[in-house]
Amino acid sequence: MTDDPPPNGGIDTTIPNVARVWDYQLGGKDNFDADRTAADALNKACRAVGAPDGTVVARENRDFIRRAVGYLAGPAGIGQFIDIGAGLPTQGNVHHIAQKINPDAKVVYVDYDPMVLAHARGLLADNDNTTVITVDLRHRDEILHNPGLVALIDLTKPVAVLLVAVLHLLPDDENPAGIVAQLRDAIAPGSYLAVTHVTSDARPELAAKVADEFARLRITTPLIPRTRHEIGAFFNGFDLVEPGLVFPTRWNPIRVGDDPGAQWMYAGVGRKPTHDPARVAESGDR
Amino acid sequence: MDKPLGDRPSVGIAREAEPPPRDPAGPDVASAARVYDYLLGGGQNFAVDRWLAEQFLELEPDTRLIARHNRAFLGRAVRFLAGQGIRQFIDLGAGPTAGNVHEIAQKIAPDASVVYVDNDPVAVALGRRLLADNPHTTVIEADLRHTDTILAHPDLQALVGVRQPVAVLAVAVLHFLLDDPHAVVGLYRDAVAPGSYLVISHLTREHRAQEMAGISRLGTQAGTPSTPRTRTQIEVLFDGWDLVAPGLTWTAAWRAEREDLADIGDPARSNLLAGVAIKTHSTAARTTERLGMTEPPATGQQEPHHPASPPTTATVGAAFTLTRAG
Repeated sequence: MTDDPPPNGGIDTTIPNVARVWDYQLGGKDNFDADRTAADALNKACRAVGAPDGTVVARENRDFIRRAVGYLAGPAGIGQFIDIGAGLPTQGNVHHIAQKINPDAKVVYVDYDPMVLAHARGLLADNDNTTVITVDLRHRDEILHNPGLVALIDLTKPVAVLLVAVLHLLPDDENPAGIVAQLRDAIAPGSYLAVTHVTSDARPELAAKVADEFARLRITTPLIPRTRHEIGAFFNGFDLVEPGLVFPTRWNPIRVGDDPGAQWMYAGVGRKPTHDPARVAESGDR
Repeated sequence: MDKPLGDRPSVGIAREAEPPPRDPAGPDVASAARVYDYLLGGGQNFAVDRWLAEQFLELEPDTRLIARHNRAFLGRAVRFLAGQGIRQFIDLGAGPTAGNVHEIAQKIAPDASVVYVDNDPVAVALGRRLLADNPHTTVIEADLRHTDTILAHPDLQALVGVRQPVAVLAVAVLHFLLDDPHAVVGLYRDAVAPGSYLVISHLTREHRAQEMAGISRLGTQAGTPSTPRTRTQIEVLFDGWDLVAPGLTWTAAWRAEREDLADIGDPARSNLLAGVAIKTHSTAARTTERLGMTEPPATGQQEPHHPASPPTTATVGAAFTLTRAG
């Protein structure tokens, strides 16, 4: 942990904060009036047209995290996790899930929100295998070189990078695809990427309205719903594991059935191949 | 081994065991026995096992209770059998928590012999380490379907005489036989002496059928297929044996004292049906008749063959039209 929170914790309670809005959607307590008002407005916009609201989205996302991290820590054999844009603890504690399955699993939470840091420090005080670092995803160089991360994670070995419910907070001009590509190039072959992302596919008009609401409510970040095709492009250079890029409820469900869920997000897990054909050809020339 | 270690005997020792190296050719596959070990709080399990167990728990929060009551049933059954004078036990699919049966039996009869059989090399290696100091136990690596191999195994024959009564334990294992558990059990029945016992517990779909089917599905997806069966399908596994009281019951209810039911309320929550049966001279006679053997039954104990018991071959065939899952 390198950064101390600024005075007053750097927390402005009068502006709706995306991490706290999300916390409220999950039924958490780490939120203020401004966050609750914003969340209620977003949910109202959804319910007005009979669509599932943010509480459903948040729950589906949390359940996906549980199954994806279980898969990664279990059969995928991953022992290192980097949860970027981790948010407040109610989102689903990756280290709880991972360390239940692999007690030695290392987990680094990355967020730029000082409130996340403050909460996580309390939560993780007695866990040597887990840390939180305060870095803005857009400064990706700082993530993988962060001393707190490097102390815990061996980047020469496979890791799981979680970009869950976060890439849709980055407009194209902040180059989310470039950020993901740079992370991909920096992690070892055999590493994994897990993504959930708000989509405009099922309800283009409502998605545009909700995005407008984010701006109108002056939430700390914009919301950029994307199409399945656009979200799939984040997995360039990864092989999607079964069942591919799907609605979160359809990603390896525990229960029988084919529940499409709220259809507000796509979820996927990709693996960086261990054999890069180009590299194999290159080495063959030597 | 004279110190009873309680319900989970191998936990402390098992934690020392090194996990096997990961197979670089593919992901590790969960083992049902190690999942069971994890559910019982044991230490001989790996990430894939814990992953599968956690999925079971998400689907059926009673999964841990189910494992615990199966274990408790095994304890009561072995104590009952030792009390009946049984001194030879063959525990099929013993798993890595091997050790419980001989501790229970030898507490009552120090000379009781226990042969553990498992097809998982990891479980066998661990079991052998745990039991190295106990001359009345052995661990055989074999598929429980290979009855001839098991019963002719020199390690078994050194401890167990099949001309004397023996207890065959098939506890929470036959649901992993997708094809024909009835035939397998029949092979043991035909091989053991009159006075021998059979102990079965079996996953059912009689209670919370959806969840149990879901557990089978998740296990199949993870590479350890199993199938819950109906009460009727489990009953016919005792074909040629006489169930002792109270018959086929929930594991939690089998000869249970009030305190055995303290954590469960409704015994159906234990979700495995269980029974203990004896091969009497009369059941043996029925078997030898079928096989065309000439061994005379013991005087005065022969019963006429009742058409409803044991079930006819046709009934059995109809009951087992299961197909291989996955």
